[in-house]
Amino acid sequence: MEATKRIDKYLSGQMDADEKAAFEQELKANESLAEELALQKDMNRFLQGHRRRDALKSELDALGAEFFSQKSGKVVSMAGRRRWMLAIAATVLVLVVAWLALRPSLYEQYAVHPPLALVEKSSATANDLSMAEQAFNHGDYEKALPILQEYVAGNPTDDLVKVYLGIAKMELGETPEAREIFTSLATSTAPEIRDFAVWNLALSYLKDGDEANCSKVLRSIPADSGYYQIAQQLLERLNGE
Amino acid sequence: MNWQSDETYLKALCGGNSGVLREIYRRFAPQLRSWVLRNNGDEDDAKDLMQDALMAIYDRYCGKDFQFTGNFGGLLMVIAKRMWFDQLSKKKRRQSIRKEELYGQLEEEPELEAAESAMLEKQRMDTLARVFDLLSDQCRQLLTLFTEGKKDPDKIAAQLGIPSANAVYQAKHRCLARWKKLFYQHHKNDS
Repeated sequence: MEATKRIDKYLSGQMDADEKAAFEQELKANESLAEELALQKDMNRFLQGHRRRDALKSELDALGAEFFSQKSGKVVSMAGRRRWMLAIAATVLVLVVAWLALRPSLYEQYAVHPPLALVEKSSATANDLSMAEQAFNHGDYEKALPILQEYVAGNPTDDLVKVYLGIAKMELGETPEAREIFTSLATSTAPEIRDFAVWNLALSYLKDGDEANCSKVLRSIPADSGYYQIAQQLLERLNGE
Repeated sequence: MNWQSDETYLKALCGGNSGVLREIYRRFAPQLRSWVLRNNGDEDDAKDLMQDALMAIYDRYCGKDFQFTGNFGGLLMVIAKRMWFDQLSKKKRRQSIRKEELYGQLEEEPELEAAESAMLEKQRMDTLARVFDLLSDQCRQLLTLFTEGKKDPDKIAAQLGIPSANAVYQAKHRCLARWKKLFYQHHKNDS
């Protein structure tokens, strides 16, 4: 109690010079007093800031609900991937809406790529893949590209990763090559791969400023595609601008 | 893409700026999600980790004299990973993996030390917040009035029905001492 009182006096600037000097001298020698001082400083900080702290917590809570809304487990099976892809389509819409107010070009507004979440595959490639994943999700496509290329060469049937390879190329300005990939997957029998590829095909035209072809692809997106809504929205904006 | 600077992120966290906070999520949430999903977690875990890691940065750097010099995204990720490993080893979901192996992954991270300090600071502030609620109504009001600039003890005395200014100071010190005592009791139990 006595220590609490002295520390409070010190912190609220009510000590005179002599008293303050003596107190500071004592602090150097008395570890537990110093520790109590640190705690009382934190208590003051809490009192001054707890409203802001609570407000921040609620705000982060809301943002969290928005950015982590999908329910998904580990991405392992094709069935798992399917759910994942549907969730991605929904997320893309949310992300894009969030972008609208802020971004300059239409391409940048709409090219909000879902994160690359590769499967825990064979351990030999896991490190490389996680590097590619990190680079991709950071927007470092230059770094992600060669790893994705190598992976796709070794796993020519992994169509999902192929789409991501196409996105990396598109982001790096290699749109014709990207389009080749997207076009080849646009006839895939797996609907989630097909929809994802077609959507990115549209984006690749948008990136090149080819609005006519972009609109054409967008109009071909059927109502049962997860990208239908966003495609319609983009079409409207293309027509309006 | 033109992202804001690390300094802007910290300012938004400390002072509030919804647009920038949103950008923090847009920029780092995918990365964190993908890591958590690959490490035995789910979407909810990732969401909680993101929030807790940001709160830890807030508690460590906001309203303090510490200079933030590191990489915001790096620090955020290391805090989240470190927190997740703590949870995993508590839940023993990965009995097959030894603790050292788990934490060893983080040893090389330049932000590890800052991350651990931030986590400790958050635990401290969480405990302070929790035990503050255990104080009497009068204590909470009194301490709040003192920090809200109404430092005139006579006015506080009148408002709270305390007989004198002197008694207000006595009550303040009693409340602070009680709060400290509760903190020490609970903080030991937590860690």
